[in-house]
Amino acid sequence: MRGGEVQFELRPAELRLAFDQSFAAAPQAELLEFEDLLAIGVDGDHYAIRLSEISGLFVDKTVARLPSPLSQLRGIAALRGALVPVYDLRALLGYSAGESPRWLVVAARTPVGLAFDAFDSHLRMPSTAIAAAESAEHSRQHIREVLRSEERAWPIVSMASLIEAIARLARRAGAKQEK
Amino acid sequence: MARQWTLGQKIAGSLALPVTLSVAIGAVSIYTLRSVVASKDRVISVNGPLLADAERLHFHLEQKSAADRAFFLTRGNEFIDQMRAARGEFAAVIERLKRNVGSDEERRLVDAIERTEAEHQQALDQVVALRRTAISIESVGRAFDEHVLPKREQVSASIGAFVTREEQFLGEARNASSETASFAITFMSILVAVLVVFAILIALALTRSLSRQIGGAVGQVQSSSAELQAAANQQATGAKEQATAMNEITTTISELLASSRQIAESARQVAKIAEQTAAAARAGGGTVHNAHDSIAGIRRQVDLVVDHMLELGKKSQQIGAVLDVVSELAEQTNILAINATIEAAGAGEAGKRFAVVADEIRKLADRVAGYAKEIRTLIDDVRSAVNTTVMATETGSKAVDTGAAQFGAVTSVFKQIAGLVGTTTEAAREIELSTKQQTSAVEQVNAAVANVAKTTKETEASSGQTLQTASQLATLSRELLRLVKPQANGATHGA
Repeated sequence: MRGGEVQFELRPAELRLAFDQSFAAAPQAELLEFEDLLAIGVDGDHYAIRLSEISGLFVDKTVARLPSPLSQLRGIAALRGALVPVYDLRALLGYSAGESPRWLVVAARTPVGLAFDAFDSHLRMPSTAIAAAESAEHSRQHIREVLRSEERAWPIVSMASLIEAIARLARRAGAKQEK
Repeated sequence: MARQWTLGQKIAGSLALPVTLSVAIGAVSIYTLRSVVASKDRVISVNGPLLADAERLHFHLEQKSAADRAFFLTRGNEFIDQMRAARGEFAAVIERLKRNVGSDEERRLVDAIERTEAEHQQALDQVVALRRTAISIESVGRAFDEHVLPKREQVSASIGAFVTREEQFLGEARNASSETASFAITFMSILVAVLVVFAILIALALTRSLSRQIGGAVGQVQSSSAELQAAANQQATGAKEQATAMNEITTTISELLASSRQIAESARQVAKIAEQTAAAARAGGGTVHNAHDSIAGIRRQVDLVVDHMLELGKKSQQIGAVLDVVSELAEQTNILAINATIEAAGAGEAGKRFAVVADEIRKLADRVAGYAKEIRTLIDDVRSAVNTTVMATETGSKAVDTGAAQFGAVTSVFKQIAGLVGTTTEAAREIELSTKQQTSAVEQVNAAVANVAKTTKETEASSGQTLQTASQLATLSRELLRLVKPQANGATHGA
């Protein structure tokens, strides 16, 4: 408890120093070669999503359910003045259905929302930390790359693959409805 | 109906006749002896002195003769005096003989002696007168031979006659005494023979009667002695068993006495400990009362602690609520920063500097979120600690309540203990007193048992003595029976 008090007493100074240094130093060239990713949690497993592949992160948004033959579709949500269909990332990755996810991201190129269970943190990692996934590591669908650090490895969910899969599912469902 | 004589009467009767005969024998013997003695006395006192006096007459006559011869030879007057003295002695003897003689014949013989002596003296005086003259000795001698000597011979003859007569009387008296003695001996022999015969008869009769009577009695004595021996045996055995039992009883009573003393000592210790316990119980009651007051104070302090802790819990909840807001703000700030980063990336080169700001904002949001988590953890710890403390305090409060109630019960129990200990003390004292009385009683019993044991040992010894006496009596009765009835004893032994 005593150490905790000392720690709290020292932190404001450290924070102030770090904050000031972030604005005082010039951007380093090597740091420009990095990747921004979001560390998320799906059914207890850790995954990463490239920040460049999404257009926004949202939490606790109301998802209105729609009658749909697609079980992966959780409904539609109003985000930044537009209606976006929201799919369950857990179902798309092959997990069984669970409770309603709090978090969702919107794909950058296609206005499709992907709901997931937990948002862990924002990761800024060197590009060299990302490697192609080995066969054993992409047992799940839509995993092609893996982000590795000294502590942990995050399978990177490919938004493009997910969008393609959703498109296929939508087409298939439309075809069924037309029939 | 024949009279039944007792043993004493029989013996007395048996002895009466021999005694009577013995008395008769004695009487006859006395009478005979008295007669013999009288004869003897008469011989000794009468005849003996008379003979002695007759001999003295001879002696004095010889003295007188010797004196006159001496005169004739010497013509000394002293011889005349001697002659007169001898004649005086002679006369005195004659006078005594006259007094002592009892018969006329003896008196006449004495008179003859006296007369012949007077004649002799007369003749002698004549011759003496001649000797005094101038006549020759030869003439005197002749005159002496002619006149004096015949007279002297007459005197000697008369004395001899007297002596002969006295010797005759003496012989007669001796014969009479001998006859009397012989008669007495014969009579006494007859009486003795009769007495012996009677004694033999009485002895036979008495022997037969006594043998019959004593034999029967001895038989009964033998039988009784056998019964007495058996009884003495039983009594000795019983006395030994009783002595053994008394020894065991004595040992047991000694152990009981030791136990009683130990119980008394234990009771005294119990009473002492009970008093100490009562004092401790009273002290404990006071202590419990003080503790009860202290617990009431603790109860109030605990209530205060609970109130403060509940207030602290409420404050913590409020802090948690504020922290939720902070966390929410941090999360939203983070989301905003991430979205700003996304937007900055979409803005191209112009957005890079904005991206730096957005990144800093995100970092701040991350830190805020991290600190909020830490604070949340601390708040949770505080709330958990508060809850734990409140629960513990409530538990403690309940425990205090329970303890207070239990202290009340303990106080009551202490009072009850004090009461019970008092009762225990009283009971222990009563036990001590009773045990002391019991010990005293046991000591008295022990003394009594010791006396009984002593008496039993004496009884045992007496029984042994009785047995020995009975055995001796049995042996004695057999001996006596063998003495009085040899054939019966032989039959008994044979049986």
